[in-house]
Amino acid sequence: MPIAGEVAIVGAGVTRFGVLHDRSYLDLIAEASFAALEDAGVGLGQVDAAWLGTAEPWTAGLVGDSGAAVAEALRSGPMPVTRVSNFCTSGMEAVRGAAMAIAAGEYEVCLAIGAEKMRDVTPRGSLVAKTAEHTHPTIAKGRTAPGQFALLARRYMHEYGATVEDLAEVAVKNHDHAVLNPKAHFRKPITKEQVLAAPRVAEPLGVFDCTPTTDGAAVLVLASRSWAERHARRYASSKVSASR
Amino acid sequence: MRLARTGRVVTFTRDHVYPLGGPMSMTVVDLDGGGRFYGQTAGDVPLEIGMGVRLVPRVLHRGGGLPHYFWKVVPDADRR
Repeated sequence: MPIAGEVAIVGAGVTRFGVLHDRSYLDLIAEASFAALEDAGVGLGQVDAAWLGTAEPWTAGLVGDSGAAVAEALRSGPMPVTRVSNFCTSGMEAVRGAAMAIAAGEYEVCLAIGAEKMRDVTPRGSLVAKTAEHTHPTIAKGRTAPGQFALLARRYMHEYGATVEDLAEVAVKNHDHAVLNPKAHFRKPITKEQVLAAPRVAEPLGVFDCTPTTDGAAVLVLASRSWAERHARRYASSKVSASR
Repeated sequence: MRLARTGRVVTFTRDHVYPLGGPMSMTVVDLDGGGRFYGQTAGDVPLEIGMGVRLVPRVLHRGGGLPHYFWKVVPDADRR
């Protein structure tokens, strides 16, 4: 059974995003999960399985290196939990795993959890230093995340005639939206001039063109379409799960 | 099949967050005859998309006290 049309999102929960030194990794999972379950009108006992997406579990003392973190955070009964990791797409990977299991008919209701504590690191540069030290001995040497996106940005500008001013407008737009979002990390509007004058991270990208490092968690409750039709207060399903 | 040691720049960046040794210059090269190389540029040289470049052996790093050699990208003086 394909995901499209057969898997429904029946609830969602999100924590505030920011530098959250007073909230632990498990706190974030719990807050977002219980908010999502309440939004869905689903009890914890009705959840069949969960997927946990965390890219950097070692910043939380290895706690997020196993799906057992979910059982610990939620005090749930025995439940299969799969921890997935795919760098920046770890959250989406959790959604994808839960959706495929539901589409396969194995489960009816699942949690897809994304949680990250990126800011519990000292010194400040250690996340990037770790990437530099633990990459492939030759092929990946010199590679960083913004460094790779910078390559795409430069090529995109070459092929489509876009400029750094065009990119700056994206950052301005994002910050404008954040002013309206009480959960956003940064909530002040910025100007195009500020974006262009900011230090370069990996040319042509500057500080405001790049995502900040942030703590936070978000959870979706996913269900089969038949479950959603019978029980959900409201739900959404996708028309396609991927496109070329 | 041997990959060519010459090609043209597809894209490049100067990365200021690479933590070891200051801005890191990285380049993607379409190699003549096929294949694509993604690696460090030797030195801080100005590049342009489409520029002719060559792969040259250089020390990539000195892990464990030993030099590790790999290819780096330099402008190809013979081909603009």
